[in-house]
Amino acid sequence: MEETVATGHEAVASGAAAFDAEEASIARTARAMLAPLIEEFLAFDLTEVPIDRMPYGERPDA
Amino acid sequence: MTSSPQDLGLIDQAAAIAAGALTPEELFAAASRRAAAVHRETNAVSAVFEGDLSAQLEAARRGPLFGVPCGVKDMFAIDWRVPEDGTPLPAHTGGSGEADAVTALRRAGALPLLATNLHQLGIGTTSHITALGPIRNPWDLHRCAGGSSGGSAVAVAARVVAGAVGTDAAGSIRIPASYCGIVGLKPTWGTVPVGGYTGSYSSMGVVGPMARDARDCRALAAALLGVDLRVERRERLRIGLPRASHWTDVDPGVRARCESAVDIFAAASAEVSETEIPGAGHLALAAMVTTGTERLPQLDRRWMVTVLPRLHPSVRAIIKTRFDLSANLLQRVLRFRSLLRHALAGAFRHVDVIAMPTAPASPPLVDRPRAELPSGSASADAAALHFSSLANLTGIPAISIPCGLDAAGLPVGISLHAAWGREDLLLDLAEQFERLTDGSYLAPANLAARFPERTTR
Repeated sequence: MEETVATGHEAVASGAAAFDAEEASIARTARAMLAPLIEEFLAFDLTEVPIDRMPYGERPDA
Repeated sequence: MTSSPQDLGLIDQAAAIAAGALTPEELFAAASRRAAAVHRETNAVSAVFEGDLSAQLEAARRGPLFGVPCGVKDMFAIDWRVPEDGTPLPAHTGGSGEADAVTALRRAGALPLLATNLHQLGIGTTSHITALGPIRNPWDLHRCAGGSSGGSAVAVAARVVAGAVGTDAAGSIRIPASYCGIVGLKPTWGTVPVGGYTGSYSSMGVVGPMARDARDCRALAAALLGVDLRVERRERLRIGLPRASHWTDVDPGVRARCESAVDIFAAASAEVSETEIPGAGHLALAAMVTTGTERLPQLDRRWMVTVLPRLHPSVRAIIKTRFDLSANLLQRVLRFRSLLRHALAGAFRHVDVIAMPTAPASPPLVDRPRAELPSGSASADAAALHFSSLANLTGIPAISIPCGLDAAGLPVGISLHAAWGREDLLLDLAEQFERLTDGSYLAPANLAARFPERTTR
């Protein structure tokens, strides 16, 4: 069985990111673990959060 | 009287060499023998230098660590080693020559003569998956050494070398340091140059020192950061505890040891208060999304076709599932990181450090890498990331200090987090804690005795 993933990345387009059966089984477990975490995170209100101009490694007190 | 030069710490080894009581050749020969013995049981060592030692000595400056061999996680280019990232194949470091961290070691006089094994591609906190087999914990070979810098932690705890370089994008220095009973410092993001490091693209990954005690950790940190980290006496320490988010769902034995550590600081006049981390329940997910998506641009078709198929199935699956992650999710994580940074900037106006267990449970079993928590059984990775990733998501420094043994006799570490750029404070507090406890929680010399060296003819 093969599952594919939906992005436009070259690796996906080439088929290199397709899952073999063993990977697909592991991926299902991983997705099942992540799904509720993602759902909760998407419900977390971040609308009022200021966006840093330099998101990576900006000094927190700058 | 010491029975082996490895029983000396990093600074004392350098002092013995400077005094003429020990030669770099003798020390490296002893390290090589022990590396072979320890590796046989733990899979901790990717490679040991086999070339001309005199050339390595010529390349080292007469710095404070002259002649002392150090371990380097196998994610860095060394003049004698192309890193393999815990995989069966050489990695691409994006440049030629040596890694910046290796150059920093040489500037201090240290010799990068040991490449240490790691969790495959550095994407795990256990190191039970590597190209050489699981990295086993020297305290209990059925347990994980922790990861991803597991080989560096084992090499230090089992006294192959007195200091090693690790990397930490989501706890990869602090977690193995905690599991192996040593000191591990995750410096502030960006303070150690990352050229020649296979994870140099990461907004969370940093290079840092791992050593047997805080004094040696300071010496190695000074070499890597290229700064003078002088000892200062700290008065009126204020410790913040995020009790609701990071002290509740913790193995009782681990929590007891960490609470005792806080009590020891409190008895030495530290003021302890509560600290809140907003959205703490999302820390592990935010770390997974960030580390996962930042790697994607590195994965060209050639890598996907030639390297990926040779990796462990679970690593392959994890890599491929990352293509599922949405742009919406990534953007929300960026906002979340901003929220955390601003919240911590506020918190550090009221406390000097934020303390929590480095990991919520004892080192997991190699054959079943799970964390058994009051809330139930959890993936050891996800459970540990909840604790470790705060420092990576915000860029602040954190240190893991050994603070005792659990009921099974396994090491427990407590982590202290400080404001941006305050490695000096963390190292001072680690040294203070060791003084207060007479160093009794550090990895003992008899760990090395568990790995008998074969005599050569």
